[in-house]
Amino acid sequence: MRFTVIIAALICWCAPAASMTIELERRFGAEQAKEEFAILSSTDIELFAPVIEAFVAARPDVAIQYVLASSRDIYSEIDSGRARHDLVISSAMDLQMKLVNDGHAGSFESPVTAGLPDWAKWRNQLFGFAVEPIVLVVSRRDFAALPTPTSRRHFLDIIRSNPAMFRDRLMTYDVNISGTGFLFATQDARQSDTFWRLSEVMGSMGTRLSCCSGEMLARVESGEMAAAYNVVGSYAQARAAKHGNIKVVHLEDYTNILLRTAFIPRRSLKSRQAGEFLDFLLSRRGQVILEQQGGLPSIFNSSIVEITNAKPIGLNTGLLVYLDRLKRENFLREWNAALVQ
Amino acid sequence: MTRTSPARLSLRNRLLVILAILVAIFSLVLFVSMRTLAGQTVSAAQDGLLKAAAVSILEKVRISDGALFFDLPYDTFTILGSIGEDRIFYRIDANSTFLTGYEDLPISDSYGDERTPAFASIDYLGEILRVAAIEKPVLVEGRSIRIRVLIGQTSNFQAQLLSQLTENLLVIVVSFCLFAGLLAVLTVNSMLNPIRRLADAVGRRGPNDLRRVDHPTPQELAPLMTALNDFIARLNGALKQTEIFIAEAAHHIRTPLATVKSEGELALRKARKPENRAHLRNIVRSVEQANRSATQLLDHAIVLYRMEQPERRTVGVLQCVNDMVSSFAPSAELRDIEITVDSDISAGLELYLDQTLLETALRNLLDNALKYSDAETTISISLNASPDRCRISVRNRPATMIEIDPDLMIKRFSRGANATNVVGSGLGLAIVREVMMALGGTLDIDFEEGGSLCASLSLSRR
Amino acid sequence: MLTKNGLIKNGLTKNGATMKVLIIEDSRDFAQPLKNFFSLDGHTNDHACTLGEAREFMDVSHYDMILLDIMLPDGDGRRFLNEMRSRNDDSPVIVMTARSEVSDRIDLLDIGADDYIVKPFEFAELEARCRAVLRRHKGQSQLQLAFGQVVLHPLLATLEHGGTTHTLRNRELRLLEVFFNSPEIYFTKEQLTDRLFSISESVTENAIEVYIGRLRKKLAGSSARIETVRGIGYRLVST
Repeated sequence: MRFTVIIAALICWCAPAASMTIELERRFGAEQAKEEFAILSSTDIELFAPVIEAFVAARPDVAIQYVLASSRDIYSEIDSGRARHDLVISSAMDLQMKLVNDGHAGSFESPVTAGLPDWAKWRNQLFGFAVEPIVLVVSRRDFAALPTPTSRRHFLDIIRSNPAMFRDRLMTYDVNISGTGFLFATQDARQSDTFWRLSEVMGSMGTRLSCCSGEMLARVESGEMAAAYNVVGSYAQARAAKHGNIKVVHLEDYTNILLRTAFIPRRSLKSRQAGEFLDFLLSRRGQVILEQQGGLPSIFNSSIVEITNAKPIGLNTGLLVYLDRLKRENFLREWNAALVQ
Repeated sequence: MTRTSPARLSLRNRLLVILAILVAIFSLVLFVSMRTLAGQTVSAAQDGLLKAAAVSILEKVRISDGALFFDLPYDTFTILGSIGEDRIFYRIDANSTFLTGYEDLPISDSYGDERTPAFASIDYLGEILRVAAIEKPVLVEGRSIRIRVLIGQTSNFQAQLLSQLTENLLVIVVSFCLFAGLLAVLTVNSMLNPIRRLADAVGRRGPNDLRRVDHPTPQELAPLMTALNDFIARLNGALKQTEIFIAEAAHHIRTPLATVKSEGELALRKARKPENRAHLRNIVRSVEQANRSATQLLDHAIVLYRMEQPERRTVGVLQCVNDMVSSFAPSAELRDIEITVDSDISAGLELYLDQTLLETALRNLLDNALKYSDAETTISISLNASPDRCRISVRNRPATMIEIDPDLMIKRFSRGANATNVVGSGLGLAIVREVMMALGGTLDIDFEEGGSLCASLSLSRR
Repeated sequence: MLTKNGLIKNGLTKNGATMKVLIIEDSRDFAQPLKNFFSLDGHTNDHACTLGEAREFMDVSHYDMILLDIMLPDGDGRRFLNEMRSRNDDSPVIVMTARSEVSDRIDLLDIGADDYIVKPFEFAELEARCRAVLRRHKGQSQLQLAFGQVVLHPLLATLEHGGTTHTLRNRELRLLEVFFNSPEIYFTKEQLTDRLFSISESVTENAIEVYIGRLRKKLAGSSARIETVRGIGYRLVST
């Protein structure tokens, strides 16, 4: 078996590697810090910085290299077997799950992880560290005269009733390129048929597709877009706090709750230091910093679950299903058919 | 003691050890078999789960416009991995063409059908997977294609379940062991109880009790009991022989002793020279001492005999005392010693006991008192009765005013400090005590104010 | 006057008269010393080895004291005793037995013995018992010894003179018997000691003196006194 693994590894290594696009890189910590490890993450640096700063302040002997990339790129990077990072963070739960299922994660146990609720960890290899409601974001100005959508069906009706307002002014993730977006869409599809109907309606309106929540929020804030569907809740709240035009809507029929996850790659050489950081991240103090200074809701934040009809996305092997080649192809075909008309 | 008895083997320990071993073996067997059963059950459970998953995947195969469509069931995958957080691996092939899943997952040698999948344990990526393989033929554009589904998961689920079962099993088995152990101890104890009770019963016997042992005992101990009783009988017989021999010997000694004594006395009367007189005196004194010893040996033999075979009858105590006093009176009178009897009980007080024993005790007491008293003194005997006891006290003033240790007086063959010139063998009081033990009473010796010695016999009236 | 071989008579004689004693005992070894004992005091004694012999003796003479052994070759002494009492022969009988149970005594007394003595016994005890038996048997006032005006009643243990009666202790009595039986005869201290004290008793040098002293007190004022002669002994003389 190991023989096969070695062959596979060689093949992966020799194969023309689609190298990852690094969006941003920053080093945290003292100049002379001897212990340095790398975090590969899809989360914005600004949101994560407070936690990292707090950690390196307490541990002057440690430095952290923070590498920002898209969730899909992160997946490819780790799947290729190149061992260059010591902690992998992503909001694409399904991609993370697949990486762990395929054996890329190392096990990590500590008193902190033992204290995590069961739904926030898998196999003591994959750990959730922040929760995210997936929300609808609307432009206040556009919706000044319109009722606030209470459900997807309602939203659907509003759109259909006001075609002029919404033509080319709706936005959502391009699930072809965004792993996060793909996850949101597939989870939506699980919940009800209404998603497909909404998708068709949105498609008929000429919905614009985006790579990321940040872009969508900017467009809504500027008023270019009237609404953005399936936006990451914390980003939306952060923006809404700063700018008056953004209104966050939790649709009452259901609200998917995303879990941001992290794992330590099996081949990491700095797994101990990564583990120490992970412990800090998961500790109460770390969670408080993450939430209050980073704006990422803590897993211990009970108010999230109190959102009406909150539907946490389960951290389990079900997430593998939509990554299946045939299933994915099938889904994408249908999704594209609906939204790209 | 002999060297034949081996290192102390304890029945109890032996039984306990055997039982302990049995319990241990049984527990082990129980544990192993149940764990195996549990393992099989868990395996079966996992297999069942895998089968259900494979079947549900196969169910979602659709054929539309000559193309195969797969709709992997989300919930199946969720459930499959949820229990033990197991990793899931699968592949779907059509005939021998890989369709989707993990391409490097090895194809199964055999595929079962929906009713009986083929199960196997394989090695994949360094882990042991349990896989289920099912195939189903479908018709696509007139061609029959075999859809092959292989689905497997790691054994965390199994391992977890099994470890939990093992834990529980361990608790059960250990509890069983403890309980069985306790039961074993109780059983062994109760089994050995008859032996202990028998030992107690025999142990409680008095020092001279050589009766048959008639304690109710279990069947298994019957041979031991028979042997024991035979042994006791033989011992008894041997003892009796010895006693008879002693009695006879003592009896036969007395007559020649008496002869020597009387000849000696006669010679003394005739002798004039002081040294001859001295020699004769010595001879007579020695003979008297020997005679006393012989008498007391005989008394001792009588007491032993009577202890075993008492001849009990109703005895008038006052009458008995008076008769004894009458028979001592002439000798007492020779030295002007007066014996008085004073009683607070009526002549009618009766005790049910062996009269000879009582007389022996009284005789020895009086003899002792007489021996150790000076001429012209009084020996007073008093009788007192209370509702449950009768007391006979003999008081005299010992010849020398030295403090006498009552216990020393009683120990066989030792003599009081004032015995220097007075002949005696020291057996007297020991015999009285023996008699009192046989009669179930007590002998007390006290010094009273005024210097008199009081020896009391105390008997129960019931 | 001393008797021919210097022996002392004991106090059982009544004014010179001897007693006739029958010893019924099958063991010659045992009987011989008894006979010597009685002879010493001048009594006549006969010795029967069997009951048959005894009956023969008794057909011919009357005895003042009978010593009867229980176990005889030709019968039980008890039956013999029974026979005696049945024909109203009330001669004093002291039974000699090897057993020492008082209950036997009662049986024997019931049958008609006057007393019993356990073999082996001391002469002194035999003497005491004989004395007691005779005292009971003969009536109380018949026997007396006299010297001058002084009268000694051995069975009453009293000394009478000048109208006064002195009670005598046992040893005092026995001592006086010796003097009254052989008045004006010298008796040595040893002789008197042998009479008065048993061999097993410890006797001091002047024990006899003590008793002599007491007797002197009791004889005071009478016509008799006890005279001490150094180097010779004591004797009873008239004042």
